[in-house]
Amino acid sequence: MLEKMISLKKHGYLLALLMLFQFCTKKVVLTDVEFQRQLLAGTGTYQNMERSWRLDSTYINGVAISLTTYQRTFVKTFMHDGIYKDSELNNGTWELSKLNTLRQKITYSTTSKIDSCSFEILLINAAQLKLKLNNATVKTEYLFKIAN
Amino acid sequence: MKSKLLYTLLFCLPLALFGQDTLSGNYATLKLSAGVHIVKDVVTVKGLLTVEPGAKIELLDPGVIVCEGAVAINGVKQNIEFYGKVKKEGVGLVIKNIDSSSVNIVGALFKHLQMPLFFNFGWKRNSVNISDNNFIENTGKVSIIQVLNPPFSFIADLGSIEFTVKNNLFSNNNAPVYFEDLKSDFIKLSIVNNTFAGNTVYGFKNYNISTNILYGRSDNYYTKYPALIENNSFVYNYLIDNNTDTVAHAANFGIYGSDKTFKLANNYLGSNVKSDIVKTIHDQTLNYSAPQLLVEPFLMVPASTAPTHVYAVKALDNKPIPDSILITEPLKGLVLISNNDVNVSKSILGFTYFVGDSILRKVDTTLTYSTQSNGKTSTLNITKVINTNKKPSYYTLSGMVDNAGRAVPDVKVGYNAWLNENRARKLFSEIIDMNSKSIADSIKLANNSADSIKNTFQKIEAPIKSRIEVGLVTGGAIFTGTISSSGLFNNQMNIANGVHMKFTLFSNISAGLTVSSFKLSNSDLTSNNNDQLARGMSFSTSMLSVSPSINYDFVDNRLYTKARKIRPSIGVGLDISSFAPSGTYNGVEYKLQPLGTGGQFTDSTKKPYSLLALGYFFDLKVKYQINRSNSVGIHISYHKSMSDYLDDVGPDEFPDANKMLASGVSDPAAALYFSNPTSRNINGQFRNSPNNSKDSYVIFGIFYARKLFK
Repeated sequence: MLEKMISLKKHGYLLALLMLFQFCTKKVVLTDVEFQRQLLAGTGTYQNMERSWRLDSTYINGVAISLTTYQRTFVKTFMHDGIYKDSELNNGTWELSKLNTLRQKITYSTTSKIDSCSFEILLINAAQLKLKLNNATVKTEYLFKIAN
Repeated sequence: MKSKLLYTLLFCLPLALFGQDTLSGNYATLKLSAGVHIVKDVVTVKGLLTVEPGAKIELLDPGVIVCEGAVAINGVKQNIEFYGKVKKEGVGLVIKNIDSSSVNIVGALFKHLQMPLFFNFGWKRNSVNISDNNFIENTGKVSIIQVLNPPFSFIADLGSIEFTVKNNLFSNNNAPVYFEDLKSDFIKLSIVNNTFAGNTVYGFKNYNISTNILYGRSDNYYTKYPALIENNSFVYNYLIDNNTDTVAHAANFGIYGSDKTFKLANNYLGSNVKSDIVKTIHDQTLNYSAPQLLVEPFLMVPASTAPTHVYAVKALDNKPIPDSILITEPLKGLVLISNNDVNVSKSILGFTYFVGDSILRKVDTTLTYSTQSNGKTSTLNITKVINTNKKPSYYTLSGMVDNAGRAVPDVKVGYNAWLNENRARKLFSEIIDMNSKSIADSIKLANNSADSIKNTFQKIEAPIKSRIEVGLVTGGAIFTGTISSSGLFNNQMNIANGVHMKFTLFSNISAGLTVSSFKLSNSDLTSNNNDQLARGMSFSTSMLSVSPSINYDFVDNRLYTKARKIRPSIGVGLDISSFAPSGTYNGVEYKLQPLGTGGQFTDSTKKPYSLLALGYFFDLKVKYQINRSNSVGIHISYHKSMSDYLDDVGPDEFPDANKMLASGVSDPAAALYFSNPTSRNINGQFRNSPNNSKDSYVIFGIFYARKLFK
């Protein structure tokens, strides 16, 4: 009887050790929104605290409009901690609390006027960002390319 | 005319008186009476062989007497002699053929022969009696007596052979007594009242079953007649290493076979301490597939019914002289302890010692002594003192007889240690010779292999299937390649499972084959390197690998002892692995190789990497042997892959984003993301920078192994 118990105890230890190995892997699962945030503004790790997007093209009612050279130098920078700035020295905050919906609060440097706007993210990947301005009278879309 | 007749008579008379009878060819029956008979060839006796007292049969190589019928050798006090000449030793007697007669070999001396008695396979007689014989100084290194099995058809006869080996003296021989089966359904074997003293069985350094003065098999296949082995005395029997001519091990009894136990009780095995007795037998303690020898109760002193012999030697102060003693100072005397009275009045006390420090020159001399007998104790006071200048020496006392005039085995004191000294001096002498030789022809001298036969490569005697061990392996796997952190346990750990098969090749070498299934994964985000953090890559891959290996086992695979339950081993091997790295993009898992994340589909000079990789590994195991068949243990192995793409990150430049988006792969956005997850400005950089390390991983864990066959 005792031998049987000792044998069971040994097998118990073995099983416990096996289970320890089974559960040893850590896996971090990102939500879609969090992943979209990381694509937009970086992961928040070293040298990945922000992402800059340069304006590539603009469409009004689906028609591409020609941009000046100056307009093509416009860069939006989204910092991982929610700070926004751009190449015209405007700053503010950004928020992506819902999938494909980017909200921005911008303080214009020249007028100190505070404005809020909302974009629908039509496309985002590691190199491209396409935004559609919501609540506009005309359908306005902006295509940005990564400019890190 | 009268004078011619007289000369003829004078010439013939000595021939008649001292004539020798040379035997050759086949005989229907043969009777050898008193006188000398010479055998130089094969002599076959189809019927009865009779040898009468006083007969002396000289067997000269290749002389052998083959007996196909009855054998009646009936001597008195060993006055029948079968002997060979030094360096022309004949074979002996061979018993063969099936016959309903008996073999009686009584009161004979067998000396200077190759194999005095050989019962060839398929032999059969009604009974065999080997009693009151002396087997002395036989030089063959195979067997003194070798008894193979009767024919397989014997079982149909439902009979048995009474086989008795009784009151024989085996002394100063170079080979063992071997019975193919010590337990049998056909042979009722009885080995009683024999003395095995001062024999040297020749072999190599590894002590095994067959390097004992008496050995055989005991299988549980047979059930009827286990051998009765009682009242025998085994003293001063040693295994001598063929290469060095030094004593390698005490060598009394060896057993193998499938039986669990074998009874060897009521014998004197050279000591009255069990721990010392165990050192002179080869059984389950040294070979876990052999039976355990049951030696208890053992005789504290040899039986007086066994032929007389000296079984212990003491100094004059009554302190025991061990057989390993190194004698550098001459002894004042010796006290001999024997099982019966010994007559030493006509004995010769030889004394051998070296002269000088490092040369082989030695002196053999004879010492004078006075004796004093007190029953079974004989005291020799040495009256001639030799100054040896503290050089190693040994004593040999020869020519002793018992009260009946029967020979008593020689006694050697200090001989084992002297052999070691002799060996050392020989080696030193050889080195001096080699150094003094001209090597002008520049031909390299072959390595002296005298001492170079390693136990590592000793042949395994066990059947092939009993050398197979299978096991289950489980534990963790940690990737240590491009996407990894410098601290081993800072990396992600995944479960690793496998099955393992091991085959024992030699005593300390085994081959293994492991099939493992495991996962490797890692992320730059766990790294403590800033550049890796900035790179931000991660991966996961399932691995299936087949890994043949070769291992060095620190403990002899043939041994199973309580003292050697922990058995470490190291090994090297090859990995043949299949892999398929994957990553998660936007909640969806992608196989990375088809995406060409290293720009494989944007550059026509590149092609996708192979998902099959070769590699090699180093392995360390520590096994705990639970019992003969089962073992558990821990293992750790470091694997180096020849592929740099286990983590998908190889030595490729970061591809151009626009080309990636236009590459035509199934999901260009995912491909772009995986190629550069942090969208860094990486012009000219390689994806596997900054560490550029080759892919490798560590597997560790526990295992359970079992021998499936005995």
